[in-house]
Amino acid sequence: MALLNVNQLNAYYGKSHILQGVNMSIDEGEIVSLLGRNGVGRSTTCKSIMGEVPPKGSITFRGKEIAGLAPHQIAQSGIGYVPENRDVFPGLTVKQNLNLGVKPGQGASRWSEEDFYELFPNLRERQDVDAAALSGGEQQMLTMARTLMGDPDVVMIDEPTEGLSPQMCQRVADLLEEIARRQIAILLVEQKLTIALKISKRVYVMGHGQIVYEGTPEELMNNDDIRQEWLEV
Amino acid sequence: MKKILMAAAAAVFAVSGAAGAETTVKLAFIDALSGPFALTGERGLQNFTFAADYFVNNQGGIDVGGENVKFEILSYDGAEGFPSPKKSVLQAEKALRDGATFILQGNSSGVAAAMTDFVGKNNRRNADNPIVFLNYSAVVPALTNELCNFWHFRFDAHADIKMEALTDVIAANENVNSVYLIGQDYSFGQAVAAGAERMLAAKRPDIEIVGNELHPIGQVQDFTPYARNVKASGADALITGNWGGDMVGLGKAILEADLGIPVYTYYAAADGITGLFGEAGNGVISLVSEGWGANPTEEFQAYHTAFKAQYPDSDINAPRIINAMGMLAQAMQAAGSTDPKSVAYALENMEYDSMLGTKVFMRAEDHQAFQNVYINTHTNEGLPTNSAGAALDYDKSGYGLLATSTVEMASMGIETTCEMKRP
Amino acid sequence: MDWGFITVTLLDGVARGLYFFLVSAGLTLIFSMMGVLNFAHASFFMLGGYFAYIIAQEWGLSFWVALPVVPLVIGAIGMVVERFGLRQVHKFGHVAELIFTFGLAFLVQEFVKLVFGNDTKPYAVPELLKGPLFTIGDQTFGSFRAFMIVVSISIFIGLYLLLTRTRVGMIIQAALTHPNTVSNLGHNVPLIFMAVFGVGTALAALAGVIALPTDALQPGAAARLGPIIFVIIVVGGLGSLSGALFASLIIGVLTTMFDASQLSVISIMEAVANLLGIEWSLLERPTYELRRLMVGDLIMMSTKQVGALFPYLLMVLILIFRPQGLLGKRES
Repeated sequence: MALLNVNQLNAYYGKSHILQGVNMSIDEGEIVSLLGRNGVGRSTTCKSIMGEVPPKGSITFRGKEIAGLAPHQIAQSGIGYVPENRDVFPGLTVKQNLNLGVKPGQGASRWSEEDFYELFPNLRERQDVDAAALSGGEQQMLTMARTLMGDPDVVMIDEPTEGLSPQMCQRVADLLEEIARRQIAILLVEQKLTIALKISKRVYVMGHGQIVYEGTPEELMNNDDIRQEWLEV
Repeated sequence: MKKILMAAAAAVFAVSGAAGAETTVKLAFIDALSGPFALTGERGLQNFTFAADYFVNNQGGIDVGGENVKFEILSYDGAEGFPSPKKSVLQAEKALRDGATFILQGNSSGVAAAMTDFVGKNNRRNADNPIVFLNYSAVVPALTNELCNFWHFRFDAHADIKMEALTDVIAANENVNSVYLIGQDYSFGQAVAAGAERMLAAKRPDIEIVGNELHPIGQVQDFTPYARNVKASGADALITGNWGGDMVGLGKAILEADLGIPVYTYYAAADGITGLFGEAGNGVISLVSEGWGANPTEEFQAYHTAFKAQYPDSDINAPRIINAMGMLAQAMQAAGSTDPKSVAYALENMEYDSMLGTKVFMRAEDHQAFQNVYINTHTNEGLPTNSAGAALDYDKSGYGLLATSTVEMASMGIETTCEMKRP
Repeated sequence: MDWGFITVTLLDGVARGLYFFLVSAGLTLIFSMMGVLNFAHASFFMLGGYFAYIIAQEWGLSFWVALPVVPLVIGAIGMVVERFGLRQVHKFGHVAELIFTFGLAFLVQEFVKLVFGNDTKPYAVPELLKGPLFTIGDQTFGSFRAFMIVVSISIFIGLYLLLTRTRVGMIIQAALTHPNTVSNLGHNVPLIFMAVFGVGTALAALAGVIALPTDALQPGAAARLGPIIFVIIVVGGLGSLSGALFASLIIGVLTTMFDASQLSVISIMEAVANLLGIEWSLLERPTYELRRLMVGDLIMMSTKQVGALFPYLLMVLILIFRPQGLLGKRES
């Protein structure tokens, strides 16, 4: 049985029908990429799963229906979400930001502050600095780390490499590998294929609010039609 | 038991009245019934309702030229937040349509000025259907001077008459060498300040006016800075015409600042103010007004008892309302008609024996009533009682006004610039 | 003007500014977090005064009972309003929320009129705090005002520590700018909203309990305070507690100073004329004559009247030159 299962998911912004019956699933510890051009509904899919955008349809996590729950309840059930706009909390330090990732009543975690300081020595150095003063790459690391502090079983990460330097992209990739190594499932939302194809086990391609393709990275690389129609700009 | 008897009496009169024609005279009460000054309006309405019942309706009506006449009081809210001249006039127009022939209004001289203007114009245009304005409280002198009008009658002593009485007391007080004036910034407050300046200059030129402040009406949140200025000025006495919430606020601040000087007021009593001052105001607050004096008549004592039985939480905060209703009823009987014009003529030069223990003379020249005026002290000692033996206090506080000096028929000969035009 | 006068007037201004702060603290947090300008906020201030008056004076219990009980009761009412009012209306958008709070403000005002009447209630300073604390020159400074200052400052310190030193405070700070993200981290943001709304209304009520004995307790109390509080949170910067404190003190002190000043347009004109060596003194003439002059009312206008415009002028200037407010963080 899949860890997270999305079945006939629909979502609306006002009157516009954004998600039109999305079906997808993620297994325990699996890395899956959700690809597609801007505006096809990838972020909305994440937001619907989190309950931030009201979902219609069925979303099950570990077999339990979570559609209709409040975002904090969904987060507490074990789903993490790193939105694309890297919203660190201004006015709070790096350390305080990290600590807010710990959920109320959370038990032993697979992650500690120390893990992230080792992965990103920059954060250790700047742990008492206002998070708003960090660079874009550091903020990305911080938001990912903050979500992981809550020890999710699956984490949805939206465009983590957008606007980052190649070195920073490598850091992100390192972290993604570390996450996978700790048997945590990832739903990676990406536009660029480089990292996604390198680390994913499966890929979904999205277009016009629906999943238009599902396969392995190799299959996608060999399918020029799909790539041209749905991915390349 | 009393109630049953009264009801029986009323029933008998009603039956006897039914023999002749029945007429109901509609009196339109127009004053602030909402906003920060509403309590003053509500209490005025209660006092008018009670007085109308006392003089007319509870007698089974009065006989006017063979007709049985009763009074009905219609009430209209003249406030838009604050007492509003514009809205009050609109309400007067509505009252005319509702068949009212008399207007009862008093709170805010600004409103009264607009009202007397409206009444004058309406009665010229509408000579067959005139309306009379009985002003029970608006005391800016202009209303019976340059703004005077045949259709307007004032039952309260105007600001200058009261100020004459006040300044007599102040002038006689050797300890007062400087005076501070605080007032609301509109025609009445300005009139009080002007009167004080003028009369003190005439009576005691050595008294210095060390402060003269006018503040926007109903908008000052905290009067502490004003009280501080009074203190800093070293004034020996404070005079204020403030009323309603502005008197409450100013009173709180001056008592908190512990000025230690006498405070001469026009309206610092009843409607919560007396209760608020309590012991702190004892011997500090003086008030000039008409009233029942130190030795009220038996009739007034009984009237007060009956009023308290009907409105236990209210007070007789404007005794002149008793005169206004009593004189209206008497004028109708004298005229033998309820026609506003005939009643107005009958009111002119009327000498009325009031239960307040004074004569009230309605001068024809300017339609200003003259009566005994008292300087009262806020106190809890020596207050007269009503017929039930309860002290004539305010706000159920045990504190009230004790008349300490009386000016008989105050300012009877005061000059007026009014040139009355009669229809 | 002497130093005693200036000192006590300054202190009066501080006391006034601090109670402005108590009310605006809740409003600025609520506005920043929920994006709703709560028009009914000052209504809770007024209710605080009425409830305290009822408890302390009508029921004859003490002011000291009202002081803790009233904020708790009104805070609870605030939470109910958030949970079953605002949160239900939320799904229809900000305009609906705005109209809801607007309606609530009217409702409270009419309720107060109906139940307590239109008059100014004689809500008085408690016996223990009557009288002066100290005297400078011939000016006294009341114990009660000192008490107001102490209570407000304690609340500010308490709130400041709560927001910066505790985990709950940090969650609130984060939710001020990014409520969705905080939710996604597993924190119960709706509960936090409700709690902040409750604490905000409780503080407004507390301000009503301690400020209205020196002010006028009447149904217009909320409508008079509302605009000033709005100015304060805009000037201080939305969501900034320190900004609210700063702006409250500026406005409290300066409006008090203006109220205490006795200059008028005419006195300033005369001073200028005298400086220039021109013999000119209209002030010798009695006021009632001055008022009859053609521009009488204009030249008689006092710095008090001009001062009443000051908070609004300040807000307009801030909006033009520093839209995020004095200590605000958000650019929008």
